[in-house]
Amino acid sequence: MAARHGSRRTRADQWLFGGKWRGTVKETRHPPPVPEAKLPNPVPVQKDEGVCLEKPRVQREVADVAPGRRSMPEMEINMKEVVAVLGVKVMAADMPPFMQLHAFRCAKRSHDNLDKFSSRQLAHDVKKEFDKVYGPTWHCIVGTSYGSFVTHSRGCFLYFSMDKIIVMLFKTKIRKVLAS
Amino acid sequence: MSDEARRGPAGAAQVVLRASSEDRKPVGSGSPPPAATATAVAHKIQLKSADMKEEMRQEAFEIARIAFEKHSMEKDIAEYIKKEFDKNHGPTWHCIVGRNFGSYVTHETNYFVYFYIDSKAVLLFKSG
Repeated sequence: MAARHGSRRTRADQWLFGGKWRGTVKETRHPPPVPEAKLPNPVPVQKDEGVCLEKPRVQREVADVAPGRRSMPEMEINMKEVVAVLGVKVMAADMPPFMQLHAFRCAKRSHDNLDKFSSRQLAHDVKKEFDKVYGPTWHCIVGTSYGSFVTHSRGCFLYFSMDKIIVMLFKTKIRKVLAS
Repeated sequence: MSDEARRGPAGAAQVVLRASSEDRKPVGSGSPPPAATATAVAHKIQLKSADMKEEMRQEAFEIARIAFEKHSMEKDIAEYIKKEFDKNHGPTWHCIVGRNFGSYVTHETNYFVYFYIDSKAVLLFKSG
């Protein structure tokens, strides 16, 4: 009996803490690392896809905005309202109404944000906005007393006054040149 | 500066454009001294900013002097200067003349000058 009792315990111990159990533990440790290794892979792919998706959207938006808004008759009414509200007076224009409105709002916003008025800062803000939205290359002149003579791209010229400030905004085409 | 350069398509030959900004505040109160009637009028030129070779710069000054002799309206002066440069150095030039204006423009490298002739500022640059 003593012998039997002892042998039973021995068997139990072997089953719980023996080589087999340890082996099992080792095996279960393999699966976790595998999914971890896979996870990092999709991340850069997703980022790349995101970048790719963003660019086309921007391009489409730009393309869609122009023709759509041009054909809307409401723009004229909106134009008059905005001109009245902003106190803007158009002196000369070769530019679609929606772009004019954009220029007015941009100039007004910049003007109101400046603690101390700076014609250079206003010119900078408007030019950068138009370069960003409608593509380069835009130029902006702001002042109370000046004359000018410029050549601009078709449909890209605006000359308006806001309070006592006169703003001239125009675009030129970028030409490819041979390296000098 | 680099912001402008980056916008060009990769690999394509592209104009190297730089952004320049000039600001001129109103002239102080008081009328400018009258020009002497006895002597020939020599317009005083004061260079403020330039990205332009000396020779072309001097040409701009000379043409501006002629423009001020021929015309009195700022827009006519600007027109004369711009057209002379379009003719002599190829299109496309732009010219602004006045007492009070600020600007922010993008110009081709080596084709920008900003100077005073007497009490008026002249901005001349090439773009396009």
